Amino acid sequence: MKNSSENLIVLRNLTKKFGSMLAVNDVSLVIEKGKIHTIIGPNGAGKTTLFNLICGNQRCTSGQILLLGQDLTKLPEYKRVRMGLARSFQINNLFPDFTLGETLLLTAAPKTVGFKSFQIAARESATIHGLLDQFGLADRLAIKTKNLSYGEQRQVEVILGLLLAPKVLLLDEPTSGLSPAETSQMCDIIRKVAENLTVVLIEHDLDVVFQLSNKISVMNYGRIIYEGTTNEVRASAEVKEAYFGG
Amino acid sequence: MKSFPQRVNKDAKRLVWMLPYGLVFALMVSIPAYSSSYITGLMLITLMYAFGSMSFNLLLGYSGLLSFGHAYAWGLGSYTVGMLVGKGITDNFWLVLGIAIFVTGLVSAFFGFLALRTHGVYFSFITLSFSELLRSSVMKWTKVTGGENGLTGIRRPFALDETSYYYLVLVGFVVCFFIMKWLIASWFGKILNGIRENESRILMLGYNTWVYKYFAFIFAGIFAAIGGLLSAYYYGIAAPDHFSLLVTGNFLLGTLIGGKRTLFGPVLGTAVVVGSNNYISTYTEHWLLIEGAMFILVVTFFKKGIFGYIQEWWKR
Repeated sequence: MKNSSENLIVLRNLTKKFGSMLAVNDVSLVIEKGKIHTIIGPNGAGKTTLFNLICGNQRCTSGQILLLGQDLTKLPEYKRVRMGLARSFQINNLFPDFTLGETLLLTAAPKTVGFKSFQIAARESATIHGLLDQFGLADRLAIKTKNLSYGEQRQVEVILGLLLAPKVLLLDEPTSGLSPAETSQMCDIIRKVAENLTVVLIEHDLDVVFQLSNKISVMNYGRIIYEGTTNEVRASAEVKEAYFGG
Repeated sequence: MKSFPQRVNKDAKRLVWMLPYGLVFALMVSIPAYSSSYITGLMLITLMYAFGSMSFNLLLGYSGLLSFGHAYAWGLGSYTVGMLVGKGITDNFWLVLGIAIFVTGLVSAFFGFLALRTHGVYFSFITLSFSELLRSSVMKWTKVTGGENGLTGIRRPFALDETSYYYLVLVGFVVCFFIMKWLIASWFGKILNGIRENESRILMLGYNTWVYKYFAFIFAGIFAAIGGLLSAYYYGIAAPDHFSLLVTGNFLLGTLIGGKRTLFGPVLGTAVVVGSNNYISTYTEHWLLIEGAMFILVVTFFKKGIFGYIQEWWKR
C-alpha cells in the first residue's frame, strides 16, 4: 500500500446486508488524493449503496471507513460532511420550492447552532456568485429550483457539493438523463472541479468514464471485480463479461 | 459584489410591505378608543391566542412538525400564573413571566427530547400524549392544582383595567411578533425551512437537523406559554381545559385559515377563529361542528390560507 497521506478514503471489508441480500460484499477500496476515481458496473451492482455507506446515508453492516486516517464508520452523515465529504444524488434531490439563490445560501449558515445562527441570514454571497458565473447560471438565481431545466438541476447538485468546500466530492451519475451537449458540458465541469479536489464518480456512460477517469473500479454483485487504469479496464475480459454478459 | 437580480425591486416591495404593518398596528392601538368593550375583548383574546398560533406556525409551517399537543405549553403558562398569583405567592408580573418561561423551557426541553426521536404522525401523537398527561395530572392532583375547578383568585398585573390590559398584551404581542420575524429571517429559520422541504438533503449539507428542530420546539413552547400566561391573567383562572386538544385545535385552525408559513397569517386566522367562535356560539351550542366544517373546507380548498393568497396576489 502506498504512503497513507496519499490515501484520502480507505474502505476496509465494507459490507451491507439488506435481509439476506449482500448489496455491498466485503469491499476494500482506496481512493487516492487528487484523482478522478470512477466506479462502474451494471445496474444493481451496489454502486449507489457504496456511496450511501461512505457518506453515512446508510450504515454498513460491517467494515470500516477512513477519511485521511480518521474512522468515520460510526459518524452521522452531517459530521462526515463537516470533515470534508460531499456528494450529489443520482436522482435530483433539491428544494423544489426554493429559488436557486435560496437553495445555495443554505450552505452558508453556521455549521453548528450558536449565537451566529441567530444572525439575520445573508441574502447574497460572493462565493456563490463566482461559482454561478463559472457555471453560466448567474441569471437563474431568482428562479425556483423546480422550474430550472433538468440539466441545470443536475448542475445544482454539483454546485451544492462544491459550496461545502469538500476534500472529496462523490458524484452519483452526474450525466444521467443529460443530452449529449449537456453531458460534454458536465464533463468539462468535472474535469475543472478535479483540479482542486478528489472526485469519486459513478457513471454509466463509458465514453465519459474513459475520458475522465484516472482510475476505474468495476463492481458487480456487490463486489469489486476489477480495478485498474482506463486502458487496463478497456482491455479487461472480466469487465466485458460483467457488462455485456460475455 | 454583484447584486442579486430584482434586488432593487424587492427592496421597494419591502417598503410597501411596511405600510400594512403600520396600518394594522394603528388599527390595533385605536380599537379600544372607538369600539365597544365586546370588540376590544375579542381583539384581546385574538392577540393572546396569536402567541399560540404563531408558535404553532413555527413548528408546522416552518419546520414541518405537526404537534397535536401544543396546548401543553399554553397550559403551563396558565398554571404558572395560577400557582404563583392565584395562591398568593407573588404578585410580581415580571417574576411570574420569567418563571413561566423557565419552567416551559425546561419541560419543552424534556418533551422535545422524547418527541423528536419520532417523525410524522408519531410525533403528532406523542405530543398529544404530553398535553393529555399534563391535563389529567392537574385534574387528579387536586390539592395542588385545584383539580377540575382549576386555580382561581388571579388578579391582573399592576391592577390594570381591561383597556390597559389590552395595551399590555398588545405590546407583548408586538415584541413577540418581531422576535418571530427575526427568528424566521435568521440562518436558523432558513435551515428550518430547508428541513421542512428536504431534511435528508440538509443533513448532507452538514447540519445536525435534530438540534434545529429541538430548539424550534423549545422556542415554540415558550411563545405559547406566554400566551397561556396572559390568558390566565385575563380570565382570572387556570383550568385543566387549557391543556386540551381544543386549544391546540384553535392554534391549528388559526394557522391554516390565516396561512401557514407566513408571519402574519396565523394572527389573521386566529382573529377569524375567535370571531366566528364567539359569533356562532351565540346562536348555537354546536359551534364546534361549524368549526370542524371550516377546518375541512380550508384544508380542502384554501390550502394557502388567507394571507397566503394575499401574498401570492401581491407577488404577481
